[in-house]
Amino acid sequence: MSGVEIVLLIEDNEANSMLATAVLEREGFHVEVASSAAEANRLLRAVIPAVILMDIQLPGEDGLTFTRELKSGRATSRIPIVALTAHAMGGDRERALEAGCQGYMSKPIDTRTFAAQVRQVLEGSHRSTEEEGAAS
Amino acid sequence: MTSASRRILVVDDDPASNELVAYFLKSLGYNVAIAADGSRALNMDLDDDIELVILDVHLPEYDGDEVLLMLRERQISRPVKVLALTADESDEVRESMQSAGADGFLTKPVDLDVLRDEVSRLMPGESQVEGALHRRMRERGVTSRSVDPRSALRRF
Repeated sequence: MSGVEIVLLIEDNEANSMLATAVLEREGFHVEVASSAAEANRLLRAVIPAVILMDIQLPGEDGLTFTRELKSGRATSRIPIVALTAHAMGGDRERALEAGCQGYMSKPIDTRTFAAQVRQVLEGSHRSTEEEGAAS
Repeated sequence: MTSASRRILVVDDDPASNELVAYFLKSLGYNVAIAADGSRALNMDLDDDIELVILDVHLPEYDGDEVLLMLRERQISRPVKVLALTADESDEVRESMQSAGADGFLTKPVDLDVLRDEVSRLMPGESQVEGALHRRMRERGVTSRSVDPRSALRRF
């Protein structure tokens, strides 16, 4: 038994966060929502979530800057981060990956596939952790 | 330990930490009590059935090592294990908690995989009762990284 997996959703739009939370909780995840980088930092001082879903257009500090910050933090660098954006614009994906995101999803989320996509990112990160362990 | 859940007390003044650690432990099937400071923790009936105390080092009023010393001075009918938790990674803090009698030490932010392993180490024996949440996850076919408690325990 490995325990519930905690997802940190950083999203300032309440409707979006409610929908994503409902979809993920139905699949057994526990979702913590933060509406800004500052709020997320409060939670990240307490526990390390299994994955972070990051709206890249946050008020205040934007999601890509915050991603870079987390990727350079000792305690937070290994948390997989998935970028969420309303922009269907070219270049967003590249910018997200360049900032250190493991994946990218565009909003509005597809409620039928969203949880499976999150699960896939988690499994990918578990695999890479195992590989790292085997190599050392 | 077949019918009742095994009990853990989490003592932390940070509500985010308290709630998430408690939530995670509940998902593993433990029965979890929460206290926001040392006085509240010491007022709880530890003789009762608490097997493990997860104790934040920096607490209002009394620090973790003081709470721990008071806890250790009590005549408790059976041993209670203590896992210290802190964002302060200095040797000084670690030593003060160890000399006060902590059985384990974890740093914040808490890596939940490490927490789970430490809790199994400090509360050995048959695995805990399956929690309602985990049962629901299993029923829904949610796969989570499974750990065989026996092989996990063999590591210690």
